[in-house]
Amino acid sequence: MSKKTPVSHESKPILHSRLTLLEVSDPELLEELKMDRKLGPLMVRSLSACVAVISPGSGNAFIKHLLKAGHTPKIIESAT
Amino acid sequence: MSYDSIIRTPETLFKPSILAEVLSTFGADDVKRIAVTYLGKGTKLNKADCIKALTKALVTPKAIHQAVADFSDFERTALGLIKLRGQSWASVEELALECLMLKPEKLPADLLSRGYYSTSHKHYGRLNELLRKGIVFPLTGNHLDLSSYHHSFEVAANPLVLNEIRGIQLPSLSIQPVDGPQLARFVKRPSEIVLRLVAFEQAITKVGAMNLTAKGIPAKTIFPKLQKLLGWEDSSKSPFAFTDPVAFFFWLFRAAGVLQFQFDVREVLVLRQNSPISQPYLQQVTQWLKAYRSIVSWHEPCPPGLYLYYRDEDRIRETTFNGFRAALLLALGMLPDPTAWYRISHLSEALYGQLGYSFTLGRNSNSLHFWREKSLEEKKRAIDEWKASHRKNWDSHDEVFIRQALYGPLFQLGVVEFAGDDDKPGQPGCFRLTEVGRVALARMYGQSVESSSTKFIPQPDKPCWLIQPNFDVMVYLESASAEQLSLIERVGSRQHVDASTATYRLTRDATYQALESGLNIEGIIRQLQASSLKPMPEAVIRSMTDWASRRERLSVHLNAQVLEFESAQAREKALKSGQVTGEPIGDTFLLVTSAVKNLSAFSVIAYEPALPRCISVEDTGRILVHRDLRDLLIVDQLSELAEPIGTDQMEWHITEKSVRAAMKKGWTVSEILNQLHRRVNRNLPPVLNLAIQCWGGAALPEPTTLKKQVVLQLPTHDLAEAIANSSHFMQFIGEQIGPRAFLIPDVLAEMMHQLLIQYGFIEKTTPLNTDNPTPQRKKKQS
Repeated sequence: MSKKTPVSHESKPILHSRLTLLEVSDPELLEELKMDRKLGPLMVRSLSACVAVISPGSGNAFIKHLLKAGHTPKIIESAT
Repeated sequence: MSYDSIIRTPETLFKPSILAEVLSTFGADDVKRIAVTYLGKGTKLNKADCIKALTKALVTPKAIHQAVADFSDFERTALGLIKLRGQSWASVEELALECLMLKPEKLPADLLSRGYYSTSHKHYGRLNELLRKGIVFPLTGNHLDLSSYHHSFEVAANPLVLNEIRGIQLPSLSIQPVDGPQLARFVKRPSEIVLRLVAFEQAITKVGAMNLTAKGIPAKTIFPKLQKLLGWEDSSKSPFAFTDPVAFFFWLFRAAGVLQFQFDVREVLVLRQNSPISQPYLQQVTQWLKAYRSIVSWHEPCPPGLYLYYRDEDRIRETTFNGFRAALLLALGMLPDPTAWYRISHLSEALYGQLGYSFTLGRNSNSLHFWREKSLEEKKRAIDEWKASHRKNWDSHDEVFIRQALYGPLFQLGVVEFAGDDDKPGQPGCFRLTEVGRVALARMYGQSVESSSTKFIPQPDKPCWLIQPNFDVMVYLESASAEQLSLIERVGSRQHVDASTATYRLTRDATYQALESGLNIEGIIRQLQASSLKPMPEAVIRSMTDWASRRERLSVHLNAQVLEFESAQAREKALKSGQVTGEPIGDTFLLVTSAVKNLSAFSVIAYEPALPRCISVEDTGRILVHRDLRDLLIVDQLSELAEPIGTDQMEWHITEKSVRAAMKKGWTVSEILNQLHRRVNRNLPPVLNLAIQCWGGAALPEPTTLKKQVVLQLPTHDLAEAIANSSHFMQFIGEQIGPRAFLIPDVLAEMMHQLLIQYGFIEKTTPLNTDNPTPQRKKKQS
């Protein structure tokens, strides 16, 4: 997963909708998850040291793998 | 306009434009009859004028008020039954039988002069009265006389008309209580009822993907999987043995809105937020009762001989079973003394009195013929015989249904309890409504609880469990309330249940699931302590608090919205202006936490159901990224497969080298092609598609060869024609590519050259010139 500088989009901000994000309290935890054989490939873009974008359509599979790996993620479903 | 082409829903049907279209599909007499309902008896307009006046009147509260004032008690009560559903529409099957319960149809007075009478589909009769007067409208079709041929699944009432209906008075059912029993012999404890419901909810949450078939019905694997998780088996010979409980609860949860069929993606979703389980027991029972009325696809065990003509895919719509359930529930709501005991056979008789001559689940003996009989006596005898046979048919089909509905779902949901009959004290021949059942039915039919001769006062919960240091919780079922069981089912993992106790274990997973279902750890611990017979061990509290804090370390945001700004300053400015609220991520992103106002101020990119098609690919392998559609993932994805051109990452080149590099990282050719196919805004050029396959090592069916060919150019048409027709020359020449030109295969060029010299068509000194450009043509087989 390469880190990119944010793209310049003229002046109009972009609303990225219907995304699945992973947010962790500690950057080291994110790095640890990226190294996981099943979880890593599903984390397709980092937005910050603590937030990553999950491959679209893989949200449920990602949660399933997290639970299998012994994590207890807080699932937050946005109604917006 | 065809009535089928008008898109109408309960919400849109009474909009003037839609209503005018719907009315125009009705016959002139129908429209004029409806006009009398809303415009008065003196109305003498033609159809077109009636439609104009009606579309105006039906949106005018004053006109509606006047019209509803003239409605009969039956009409007002029927409308009230729609309103009590919390919506402006009702299933035709349900409402038709409810109407009969309010106003039964009797045998026609002129039966003797008729040669034939049938009860088949007579049950729509009272509902048709409402349709003909325009008190309700069909949601499909244009027939105001519903029958087996002309059907609508739902009818809708005007919300303005429903606003005029305030409170309904149900008539009393003609049934006598029995004095005999004092104590209920067969009772379902609320704790047992809640345990079963909670267990089922847990099973549908744990079972994983539940798929629908192409016909939109649940896949066959779902029920066995649920059965395995639940371990429910009831092979006893008791009258309360509940056959196929998994299917019953599945369809019950669907009717309650907990399971939602997503036909487009062929999946069943679990919407726990809709679940009645999290509500107090009384509210739960009321909601489960409403859901029971609307269950489709499952029905009570009935004897053979029922007229079931539905196709599989139609079974997920309401059927006559829904009608009968609606009638039975209404009958229970109409019991003269809700606290009294009644015989089931008397209930069946009372229902026969209301429905018998218009409806039966059975298909035998529902029609009367007596054209062969001549004398009056013979006709009377034929009618008596038919009545006896008709009643026998009811007893053998419909009464069985009533018993199975009472013994099965209504007992399982805690609405009724049973006692023995005088002559058979061991058999559940008598029933009465439970305390909760009385209140739930009163609420369901808008009756005051006082008028149902009962008062339901929830008892405060008493301590009912022991929490042990090894995390086991011993629950004493006798003293546990439904609310307490609901809690322990949510926060503990059930280990063992027997007649008087249940053992749960407080685990990290169960605590996590409870937190995910919306509880908080402080509330869980407080409630566990409140119902505990001894103080909760400190170590258990510490562990549970630790489990909860671990959950805070990691969050997954589903369906999230992220705003991407040009700079941190732009983000700060938007936040300060109040245009958006959210949690900043990195330098330029913002995780949106409230609805975005003024969406037009942003470019919107959605990532599901499919990623944006934001690239175009040329057959040279050049890839262009469309700036307006560029999403967060495209650059990373392209960098895996292609080489960048320039520095702005808007242009890329896919080459043999980049494909090979991707394959070294683990990509397969089909993955590369799928990735491009998903993202390209037009088709991937076929030549590049094949090139990528070849770069990836795919072999073509045959090796491609590039052959040299020599062009034989002849000076005259005569010579060209002569050579073309010469069997000698023919073996050396290939395709004719012009009036005087032929292709000669390279290997035959020298021989052709010698032949041309031999025939004198070329000077001996002329050398063979093979440097001429030769078109790439496939040799024509001669």
